[in-house]
Amino acid sequence: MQTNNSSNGSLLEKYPRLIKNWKSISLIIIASGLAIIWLILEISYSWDIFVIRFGRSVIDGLAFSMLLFLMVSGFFLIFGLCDVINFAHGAFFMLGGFIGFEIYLLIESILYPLLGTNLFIMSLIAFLGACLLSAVILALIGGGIEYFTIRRLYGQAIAQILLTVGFMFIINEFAKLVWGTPIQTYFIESSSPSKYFFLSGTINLGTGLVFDNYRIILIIIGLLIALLMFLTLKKTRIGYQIQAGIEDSEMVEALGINVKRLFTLTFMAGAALAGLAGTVLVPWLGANSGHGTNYLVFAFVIVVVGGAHYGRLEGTFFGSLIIGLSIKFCEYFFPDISSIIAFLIMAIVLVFKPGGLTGED
Amino acid sequence: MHNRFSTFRENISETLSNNKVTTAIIAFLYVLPLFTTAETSPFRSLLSIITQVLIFGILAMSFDLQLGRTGLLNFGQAALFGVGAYAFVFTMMDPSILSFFTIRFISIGSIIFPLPLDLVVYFLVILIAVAVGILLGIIMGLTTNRLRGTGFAFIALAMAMVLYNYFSGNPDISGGETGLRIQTPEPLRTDGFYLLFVLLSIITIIIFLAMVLVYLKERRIKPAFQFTDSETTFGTSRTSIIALSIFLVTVIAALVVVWIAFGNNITGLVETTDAYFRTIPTQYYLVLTCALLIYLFVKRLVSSPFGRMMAAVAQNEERAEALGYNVYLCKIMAVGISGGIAALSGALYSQYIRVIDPVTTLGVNISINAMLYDIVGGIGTLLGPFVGTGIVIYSELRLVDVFGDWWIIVLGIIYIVIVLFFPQGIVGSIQLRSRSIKAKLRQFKINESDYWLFTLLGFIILILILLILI
Repeated sequence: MQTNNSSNGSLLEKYPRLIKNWKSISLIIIASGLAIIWLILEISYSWDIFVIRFGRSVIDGLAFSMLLFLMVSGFFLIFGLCDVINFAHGAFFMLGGFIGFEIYLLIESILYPLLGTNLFIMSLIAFLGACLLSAVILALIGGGIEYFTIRRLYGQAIAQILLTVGFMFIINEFAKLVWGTPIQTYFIESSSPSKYFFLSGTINLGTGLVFDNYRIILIIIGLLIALLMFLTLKKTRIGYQIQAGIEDSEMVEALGINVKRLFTLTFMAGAALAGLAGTVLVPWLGANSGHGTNYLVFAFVIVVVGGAHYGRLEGTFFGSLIIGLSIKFCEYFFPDISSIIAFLIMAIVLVFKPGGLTGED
Repeated sequence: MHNRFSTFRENISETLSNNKVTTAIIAFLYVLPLFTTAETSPFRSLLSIITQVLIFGILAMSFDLQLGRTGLLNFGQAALFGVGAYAFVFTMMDPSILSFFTIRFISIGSIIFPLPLDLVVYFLVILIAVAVGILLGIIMGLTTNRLRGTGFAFIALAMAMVLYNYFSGNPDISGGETGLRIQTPEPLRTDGFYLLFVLLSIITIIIFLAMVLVYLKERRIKPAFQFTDSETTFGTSRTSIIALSIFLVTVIAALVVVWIAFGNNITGLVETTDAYFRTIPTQYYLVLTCALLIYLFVKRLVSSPFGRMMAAVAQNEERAEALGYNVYLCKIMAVGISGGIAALSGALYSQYIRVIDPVTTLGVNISINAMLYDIVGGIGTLLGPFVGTGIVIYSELRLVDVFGDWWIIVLGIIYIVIVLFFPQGIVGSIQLRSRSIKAKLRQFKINESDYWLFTLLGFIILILILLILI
């Protein structure tokens, strides 16, 4: 929650919208502050254990939030611009993980004889290639689905949902057939011939504060991509078009912009982000055919918390931060409610601010 | 007195002549279990499959009440279904409910009548399950005003996931992966319950015969049908007495024939044993009766003022609001009623399958299946949910033979084709083309009043084909 706190201060002058939403933001800050104080007072951990758990939950939470943001931003863009609740998004995410995993193994099996001595570069190339290729493949799949099927059904919200549920069904069952049921999880290190991944290993900050390298890198990657996305939205022509389209797509069409092409592009971008997020997840939590449904629900929760209708990408960003951090905090401090904390937060947001953090009521 | 009798008779004959197809099919479905003699006959497995189809048909019907009638997409249908199943199992396993009943028998003088406490408790338990479903449905319905439009799908799914996570996270409550076992409830294993349904099936046979009589009368004196009754009171009463006596004679003859044909089976089936296959006909009858009641209830509901209100909400929410309807209340009630029906199907499912675990009762798959059945059959139709369930469940059994493990992908592709090109579903598409189909049938000299005969024949042939294939 502290990152949330400090970033608000610097953003307040620049974004008057945040001042408008001071009620909800201050509510969240107060609630999290009270939770932390209660935790320190009530639970008799020794100070060291508390620090270790706190540090781990912050790092894990931030990494998890960045991952969620990567996935949910695609979902949000598709929902905001095209008004399609893409139920297949979780399936895209899961499929991206498997495709990235397979591509990583493929590239490694090609490079292993060539660069057998330099495992680091081999693994780096394989990972970057996997991220890129899985994003491209998922973009093609998403674009194809939009172009051939969803395009026929714009304006019929329920028919679109039914259609995307069909694709979710097909992709999930396909993954189960090919890669096995959710009992099985695939990890890179145990599956690759070299048993090496360039970001595995830990970093030790003393007194038991041991973190996985990959999670810290994940935070940096996530922040970089988020920055890139914000820059694209705020500075480029297509970003302006997407933003305007979220506000009022009919008006944008009246201004002579090819909205259909814009929709297809957004769909492709959203699916690509899902594929990228899925691949990025693999070195941490592995590839699993059950991820589709689990993470789809997180996507819903985050979009509702961040502002569903006429919301903004910032809302999704802070929503992912809130959800990711609170899930990881609960995993370390209150394991009993860690599976339902996200829904509790959603319920609180819906009761006090039905439109979400940035959306309209 | 006479007048009242006459109008009553007229009402009945009118209802029968309007619902010939339904009556024929229902009577046939009720007679079906009487054919089973051997415990291991393929008929039993067919009955078992039909039972499953009817259970999920009820679930699909409850889903249709929201999607087809009110325009609400509920992805938390699994929660309603699973809550019904778990409420049934919990209350059934807990004997403390029996302690509410202190009177165990009625004694008149020296004769003691034991009360059918098992039966009372059984129905009470089902009612509790339904009540829990209604309650959860109302809670779900309360969230419909929080997000506009399709946002309800989010919240309902999230609520279902909370329940699912809670139940799968606490194996001591839910039974975990191995599941929670229940015995087949006591009433289903007694002969009295079965005989009750046999009685019901005989009643349906009688209704069917009455329908046939009405049909024959209609065919014979079609042009004069309108004013035969209003000639003179004396003539009417005489014709009615003659018709009644003919009818009674026919019924008695038919019953004698039924008894000669099936008597062996009826007496053979009521030996009380605990074996599972023994209870299949009883389960079948129970589920069929529930499905029939739900069908009639939904049919009535849809044509009531409340049903019109639901249709108004489904078509245009703002307009309905502007016309002065309470849209929010309408949605809450729709989700509540649908929750009760879904919980009923969950309760029936739990005693049919006898082992329940979180994945098969609360998992997201249940919601997706309910949607699949409804879409394939046709949203907003009465028979669609049942037809869709039958087709999907049966094709699940058959597609495995043809496509191996890949059948589920084929099913998904069929589903997408239906959503894209036949958004009305199977029954809906037939209804859309009903006029041209009727015109085509009229060319073959088949009138509307003859449809039931051909539907019944087709249904019998279908069942025979299924029997041979199984």
